[in-house]
Amino acid sequence: MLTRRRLTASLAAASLLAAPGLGRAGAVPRRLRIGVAMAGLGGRPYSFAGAVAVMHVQGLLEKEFASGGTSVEWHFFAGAGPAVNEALANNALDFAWQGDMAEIVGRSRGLATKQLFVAGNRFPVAVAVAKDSSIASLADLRGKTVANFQGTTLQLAVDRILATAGLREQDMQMVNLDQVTASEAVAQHQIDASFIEFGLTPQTEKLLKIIYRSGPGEPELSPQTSFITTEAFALAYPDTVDRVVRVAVGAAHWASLGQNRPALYAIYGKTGYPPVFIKSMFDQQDPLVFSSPLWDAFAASQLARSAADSYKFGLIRTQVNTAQWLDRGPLDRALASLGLQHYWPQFGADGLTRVS
Amino acid sequence: MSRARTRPGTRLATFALAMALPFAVASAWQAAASFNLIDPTQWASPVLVGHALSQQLSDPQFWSDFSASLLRDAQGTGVGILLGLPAGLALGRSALVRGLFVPVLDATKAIPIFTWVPLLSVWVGSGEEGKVTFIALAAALPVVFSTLEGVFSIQPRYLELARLLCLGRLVTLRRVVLPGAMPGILRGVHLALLYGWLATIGAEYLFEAGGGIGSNIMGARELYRLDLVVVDMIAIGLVGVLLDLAAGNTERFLLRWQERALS
Amino acid sequence: MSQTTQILPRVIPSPRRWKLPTPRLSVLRGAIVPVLLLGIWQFVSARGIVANLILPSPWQVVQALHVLVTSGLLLSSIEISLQRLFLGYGIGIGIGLPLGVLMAVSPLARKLIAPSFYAVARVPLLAWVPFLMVIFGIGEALKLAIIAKAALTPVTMNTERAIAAIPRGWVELGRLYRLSWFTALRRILLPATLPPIFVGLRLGLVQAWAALVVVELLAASRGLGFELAMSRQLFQLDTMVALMLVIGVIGFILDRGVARIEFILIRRFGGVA
Repeated sequence: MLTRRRLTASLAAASLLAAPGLGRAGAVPRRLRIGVAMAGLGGRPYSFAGAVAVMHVQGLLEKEFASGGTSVEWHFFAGAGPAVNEALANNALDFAWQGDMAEIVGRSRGLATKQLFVAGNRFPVAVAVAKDSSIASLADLRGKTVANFQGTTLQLAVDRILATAGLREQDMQMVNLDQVTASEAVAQHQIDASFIEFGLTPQTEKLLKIIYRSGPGEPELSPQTSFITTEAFALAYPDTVDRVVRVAVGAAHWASLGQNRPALYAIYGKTGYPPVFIKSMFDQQDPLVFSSPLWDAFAASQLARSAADSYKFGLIRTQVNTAQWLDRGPLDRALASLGLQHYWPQFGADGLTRVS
Repeated sequence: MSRARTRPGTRLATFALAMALPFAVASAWQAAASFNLIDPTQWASPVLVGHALSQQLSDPQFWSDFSASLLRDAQGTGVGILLGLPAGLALGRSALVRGLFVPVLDATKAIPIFTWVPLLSVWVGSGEEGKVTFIALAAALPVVFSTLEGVFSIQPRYLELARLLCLGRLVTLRRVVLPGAMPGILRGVHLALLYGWLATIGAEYLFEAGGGIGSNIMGARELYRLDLVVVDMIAIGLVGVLLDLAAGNTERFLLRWQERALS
Repeated sequence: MSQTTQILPRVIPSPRRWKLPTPRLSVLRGAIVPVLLLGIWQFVSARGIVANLILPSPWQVVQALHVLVTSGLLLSSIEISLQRLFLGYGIGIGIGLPLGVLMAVSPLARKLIAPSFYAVARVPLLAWVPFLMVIFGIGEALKLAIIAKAALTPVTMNTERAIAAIPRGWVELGRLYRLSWFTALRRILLPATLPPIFVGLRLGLVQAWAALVVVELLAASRGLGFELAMSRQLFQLDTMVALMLVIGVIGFILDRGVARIEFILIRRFGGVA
């Protein structure tokens, strides 16, 4: 019989179970679930996620948490940012590496997350066309069928890049495809061009040429990816978040060293994408800049710009405020504990003027 | 003429005729590939498919993917049948329940099953739970409707007899309703098995990758390995055929009393 | 005396039949559960029991539908999807009807084609998608091929069965009366086969619509299924639910439309006793 006492007792018990070690210092979760908004060729569990990829392949987090009995689960999503958002909405992840637009979409719909550090600054974007195509520049894309991975951060970059050439998405026929399908379609002359960050298979690479690549001179055009955590997890396990960020900063440091570049490319190569392509995309970047985890003026304003642009391009319906989103605490503590406060350069809002 | 002479002859002839078309297609394909009319790396060939078949059969990864799909299918279809059966029975027995719920169910049936994928992936997640839920939904609907029809088809005199004998609810269920509705129930289960397998493959396409024949076949497509694609297609088709045969034979076996009763 | 009254069973209670006095009230009864569900939905989403992220409120869905209509996106998507559907369906029955007739009429054709046809039909449509994607790419041809195949199987099978099931007696009767081709068609062939063929056509349409939705989810740049996939990408649940409703309604209308034609034809032509 459901007496009032029994009801209150069971509700109290349920609420106790539902509040896992709220803020108990030193509390350690049984598992860490990390989502990566990218998958390798054929769905391989590897990515280009900068410091996060390094952490994954070198098993750094597993080593860090081995003693406490915390297991680390890595999930790679071929559906990119949107798929990670679904997982976050279902409380299936504690941390995620995503592009800024997907993070903004999630936040605009109510996903409670915190930005921890930047992981993949100024991601290069390229435009691929068939080798025998007559398209030679962005302006030639007018009226052509072009592939874009809509809903992901690439879409935002595409809109910005097109704007530099005075074009909009509506000036051409946009087709929504994931990157591998897109590059295959270009190779088979089914569509005219494709925007890609990766996505060239060994076969298609030979059949395509890159007519545009966003360079380090145009940082505002490039997608930014970062590492986030859920507010619930941060509230429950603040120490764990600090530890994860510290390991990540260490990995970022490793990735920033010039002599580690070949090893870094090897890590990226595990995705199955052609090594030549990886080299062509990342050789242009200064590893120190690309792997910097700092929320400097550029990164922070880039995030705000992305939020504004997402709203402008109709990708989100409510404005997103990015100021309270950043949680610099764990990052600052990690930098201090590793003595790396001044290791990475800090840039002004335009991404080019070095501030320190 | 003697029967012994015509039988093996006609059987052979029938078999030969049946094989004629596939043989012609396969030969044309192989010839086109061998003479480089089409690019073998892109278009494969029967020989390459054969190679891929033997390679996959001996590859433990293939079997683990295959069993992952089958497991998912079993889980989803099982849940679907377990939920659909009582629902169908309740609907069949009670006009009130029918009147209340049939409009909603009809509306649900009108929505193509794959339209549920985006919603389920947000509500339940795009991992295993989402896939199994989707498969369960796909399997439950035919069970509900077929069971309903099955209960409807019970001859009223049996139900009247049960009432006359003042049989309790449970006894009526066990002795009259279930056996009487069995044809409909089995038909529903048969359909559930088929739709469940379809839903499994579709789920593996549309939800996030998690091992399975469906993910395999899409991955093979990404890599342009048409030979692997064909191998996976054969595997998928075979499972469908086996499920169909198994369900059909079970139906015939369990319903054999019906034939006897009618004759 | 008292013993006799105990032996006699009580009046057998008849099961309660909830007979409603008028048909109009039964419509009301049918509306109870949907209205109740709507109410629960509104309550749950308004109170925020389930995050708005996951469950939009009914009003938001209506608003999303409104936006879809006023922006013209809904109409253009429906147009594109229906165009694809009818074209693919047309190809499917264009191949399926003659094929079914052929297999029913010619034993040689049946022995030649039927085994391969059934083997191909056995492989689920979804399993064909990657194969067809490699062959046709991701353009319109792929979608039409898949929709055509979805319609082909039930149409062919039902047509073959329908023609094979024409009662021998009717055919002989026609021959006996030396009926002309036209009369034989009108008096024998059509009444005997049209209803079962229409079952096949109806099934084919339903499966073609379902196939259209799947293929648009997987590889399209416009159309209802594509918009559904986009709403998933952009996490716009209200648009997603609105689109689901539209897709369901269209499927329902298509099915009912064919059922209506089927009904009229059966009334007109009778059908096999």
